[in-house]
Amino acid sequence: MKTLIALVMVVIAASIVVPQTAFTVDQTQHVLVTRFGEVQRSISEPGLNFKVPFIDTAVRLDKRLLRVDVDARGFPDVENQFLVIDAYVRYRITNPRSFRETLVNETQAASRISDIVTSQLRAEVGQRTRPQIIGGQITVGADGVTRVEPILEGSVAAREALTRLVRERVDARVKTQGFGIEIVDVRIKRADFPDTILENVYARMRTEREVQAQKLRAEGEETYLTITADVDRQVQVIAAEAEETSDRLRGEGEAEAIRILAASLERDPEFFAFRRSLEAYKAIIGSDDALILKPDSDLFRYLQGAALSTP
Amino acid sequence: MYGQRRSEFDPDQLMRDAKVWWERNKGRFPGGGSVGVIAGVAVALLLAAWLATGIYTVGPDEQAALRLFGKFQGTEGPGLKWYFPSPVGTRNVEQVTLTKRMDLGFRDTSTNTRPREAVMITGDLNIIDAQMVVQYRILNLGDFLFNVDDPGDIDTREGRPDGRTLREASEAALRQVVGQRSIDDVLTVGKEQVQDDARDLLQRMLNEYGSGIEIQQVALQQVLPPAEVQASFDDVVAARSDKESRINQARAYEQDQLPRAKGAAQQVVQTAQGFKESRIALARGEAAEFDAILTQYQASPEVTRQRLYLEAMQEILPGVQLFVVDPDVGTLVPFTPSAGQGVN
Repeated sequence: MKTLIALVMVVIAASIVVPQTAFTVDQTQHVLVTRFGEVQRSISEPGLNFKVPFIDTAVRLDKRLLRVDVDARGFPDVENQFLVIDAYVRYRITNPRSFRETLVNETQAASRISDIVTSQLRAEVGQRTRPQIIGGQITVGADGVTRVEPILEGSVAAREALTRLVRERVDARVKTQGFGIEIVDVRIKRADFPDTILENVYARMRTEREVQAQKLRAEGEETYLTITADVDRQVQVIAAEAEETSDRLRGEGEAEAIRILAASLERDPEFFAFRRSLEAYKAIIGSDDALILKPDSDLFRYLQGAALSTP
Repeated sequence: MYGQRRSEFDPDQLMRDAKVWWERNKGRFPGGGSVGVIAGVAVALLLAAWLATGIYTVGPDEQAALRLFGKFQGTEGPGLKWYFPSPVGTRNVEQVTLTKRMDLGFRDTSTNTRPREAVMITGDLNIIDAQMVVQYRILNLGDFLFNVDDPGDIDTREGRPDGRTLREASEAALRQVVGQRSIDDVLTVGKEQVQDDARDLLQRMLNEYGSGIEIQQVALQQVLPPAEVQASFDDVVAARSDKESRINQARAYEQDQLPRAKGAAQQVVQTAQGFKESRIALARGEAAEFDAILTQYQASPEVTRQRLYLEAMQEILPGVQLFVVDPDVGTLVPFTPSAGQGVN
């Protein structure tokens, strides 16, 4: 029975001492071993570690990529126009000892980093125009169409160039301050117009669309008039060409008729003249006309007794 | 009351029962019930039970990330597996082949909007409302689990890199890409390019963070101008169709007018052709007539001449008032032959 009691005692003692002595450093953690608040060791390599029980304390810090949300606020650009910029920062604790001594914990780190990023952002935004912050160069072509080209600084998009510069500045700043952190990324999550000018922006958008709509309708009218005028012209040309052909055909008909008749009549022009004259008399002399003839005209030849003498 | 109340749980009674049971049965244990042996057996049983908790299964679409005393050891594929149980070993089993989905600017349905995520500025300083879906999967489970601290998404409470980290990176990437383009581009032809560029930029950022996430697709869903200016945008669409219909009207006019003109032209030309042909035919007829008469005339010219002349006179003279004048006399002599009395 005594051995059982001894065994139980050992188990109880071990369950108190072992967790105080052995501790694991997780893949995601730095651990600082502190003695009465003073940092003894800094362990960044994960695995099983030991410390003096009760006297030493294991302080755990995050080794992963951490995040700071920079509050959205209005920043004036070079033309003193405001944009509301909402950014975030990703950083990592590289030196847990320095971090612990300067920033103490993540909450305080977040507020310090946020302040530094805000001031650097303000400085950078203040040197740029609004398109440089948004990232597109606006050009209006000769045809009145608005085109936007990405603004690049080197081979980097303008917005990214801005945030990279801010990242470098902030990183340099936290390094000189010995915060024991590394700024991995600064990003502009949102860059929006302040609510106060939204209505103006909407008004501008509306008028831009009105211009477009009007232009489209005018273009439609232009095409309409161009096509119909061309059609009218073609119609006129077709009619005139038909007239031309018609006149030519009529002329050809007349000419051919003349040629055919002439060819025939040429055979005895005198007989034709005689015959044609008779035809003409028939047509010309009507019933109301008076005709004066000499007695010796051919008509009355026989009346004068010529019939009695045979030639 | 109910008289003597029987206690349901009496520890003293339980201990007494256990002692009685032990005295009766201790001979049946190996080693005759000595404390050392019993303790050994108990420890062995506890150990076995503890080790048994290390057995786990990994589904066909899953992977397990293993840590020994907190240190990442690697991943394990599907099957029935064993690993050191807690607190020595830690295992995280996650779905890795599954394509996951994150909605940006809305949640689940397009009407459930998140304006703060959806509204953005285009390169020509216009405002649009864009909804996007990001499809992704876990490419590297170790990186995914241990590299990035994520405070968790407001909606999903997911404290993994596909929580707020992915959401914020997606917002930043989409806005940067949209900021380089005109509103017309984003609303119409440039959509594909926006998706591709946003995907590339997002993947680059997530790689930079070592998030272990692979972006499979970035798909813009609904991209619209803000409701405040929607009417003006609709009017542009209407104007475009007005333009089309005006052009169609012109085409209709063309299709109507040209055939008519061509028909009328044909009419004029055919009439002229008819005139030409008839004129020639008439001339031929006339010539033939003349030829025929001439032939006869030549056979006996004098007689024919006389006859023709007299026939004509006979036809003409009955209607007219005829005066015969002798030049030697110089007076008019009315000559009125009675009708029917010919010269003959």
